[in-house]
Amino acid sequence: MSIEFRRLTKHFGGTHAVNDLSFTVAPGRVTGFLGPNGSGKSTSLRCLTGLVTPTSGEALIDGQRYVDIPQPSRKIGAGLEATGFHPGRTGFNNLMVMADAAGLSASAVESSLEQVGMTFARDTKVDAYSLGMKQRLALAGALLGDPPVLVLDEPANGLDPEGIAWLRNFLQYKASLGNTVLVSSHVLSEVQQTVDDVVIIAKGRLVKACSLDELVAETQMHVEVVTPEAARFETLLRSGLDGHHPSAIRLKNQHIIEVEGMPISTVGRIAVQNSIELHGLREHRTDLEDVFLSLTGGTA
Amino acid sequence: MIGLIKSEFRKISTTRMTLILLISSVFLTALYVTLYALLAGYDNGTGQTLPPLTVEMSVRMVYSSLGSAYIIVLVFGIIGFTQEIRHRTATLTYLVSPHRGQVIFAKFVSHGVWGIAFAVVNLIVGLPLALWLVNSRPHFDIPTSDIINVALGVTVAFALYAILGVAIGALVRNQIAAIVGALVWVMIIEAVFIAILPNVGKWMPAGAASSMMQARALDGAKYLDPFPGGLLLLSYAIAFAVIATFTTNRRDVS
Repeated sequence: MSIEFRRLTKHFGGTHAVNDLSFTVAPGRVTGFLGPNGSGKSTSLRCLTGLVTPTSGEALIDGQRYVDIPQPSRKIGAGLEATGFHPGRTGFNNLMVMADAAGLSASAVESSLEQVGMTFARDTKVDAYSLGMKQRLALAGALLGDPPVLVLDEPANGLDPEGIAWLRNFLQYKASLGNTVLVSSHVLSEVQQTVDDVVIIAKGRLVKACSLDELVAETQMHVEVVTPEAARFETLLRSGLDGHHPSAIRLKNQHIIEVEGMPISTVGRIAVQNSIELHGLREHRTDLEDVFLSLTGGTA
Repeated sequence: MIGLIKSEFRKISTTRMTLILLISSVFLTALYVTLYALLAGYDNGTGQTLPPLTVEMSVRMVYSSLGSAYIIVLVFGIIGFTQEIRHRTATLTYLVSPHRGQVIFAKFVSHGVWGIAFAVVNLIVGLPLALWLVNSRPHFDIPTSDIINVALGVTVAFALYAILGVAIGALVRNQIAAIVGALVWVMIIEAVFIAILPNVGKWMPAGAASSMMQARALDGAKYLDPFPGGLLLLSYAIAFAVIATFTTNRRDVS
């Protein structure tokens, strides 16, 4: 079952929260829905789940609008808000309220609590839960109807490293069963080890939708040279060797040059042939987070 | 739909506020019944006293005060909706049931039934108290059927007030604003109308509730008869419910 956003647009008064957003989420994979805070992730997910009415366009689950799905809990599990529980109710009762409305039994609640490792806190009031526990409860709520589609908004928020590792395994396991899993995050590194595909948005617009591998391929390899003769070496690099020219050269400061599009061996050979004094020569790959930040217009 | 109603009943029974409001309502009823019964005929020296219980109006006043806690039932209804906004549980509620009209309808049903429960508990405590206080002193005898009608009026009024509360909550959404606004309306604005323009005031929601509790000819206002009064309150509840359903369907939950 796939999720499909078709030219989704949502304006709140004069604010363009989501603009002409189109992408598809495939089953059997974990898809990361990424963008900085305020980029329109939550609004998009709320449009998908019928909580917010789009200004134009639509978002479909298995070809259907959320409101047209007869028993939504059995088709799509959504964890949109870890804090959306009544503090005076126990974890069990918060889920029972949902189960009643969805026509599910108490055993569905017990099984969800068990899946997220929250059985121990079932009779504790949510008031006493940590944010991480609320996140797990929100996930349990999404799992109630054993749905083939999971949509989670910032599920890693408030989880400790152990919790994040657990969540990663859990989501990958769900996807391996053929489920569709969409998780949002404002930090790429948080989900980098979890996701197969990425959808990146900024200011409500789609920036990139591809596999994580394709995104990794965008990280640039460059050679960093440290030399007291930076200015002279730069001129020599520009003239190239045997017809090979670098694609870009940046003089970082008086002593450091960054060279793109030329193998480290060639850079080294040019230095030796021209008796350039080198203090450092190494390959350097831009961080995936840097790629994400440059795509979303943020600064590193 | 049955599941939704079951869910709303569970929400009410798993909220501590329900018990707090129920206990408060019983205290309020007992207080008003006792005050009206004991202050009847009491001369505080100014000459401005309630007539003694040998006067029909004073006895009717005691029984009418069995419905004093309708204001708490209104708050109960308001909280029934606004807590979903306050605790942000509306997101999960609408995720499970995207058809919000059905959610509101389920709230009307569950809160209406609980309104009746409030009435029953208040009557179980208040009615024997009123009977004992009135009968222990020289008093005017009003027909038993009138007392039964007051009890029925209180029960129906409480059910309708709980529904009205849900509708007001759905319209206003902010819990504090809804409660304060409703209290100001009932206790100040309507009270002023009843005192100054009784012919307008009797057509208002609290005036309609008073008519159902057989409060006619009390405090200078000539209230409607109980049955048309009940229909009037029902109309208010339905009107608010329709508007609330309409606005709730259109609003974004973010």
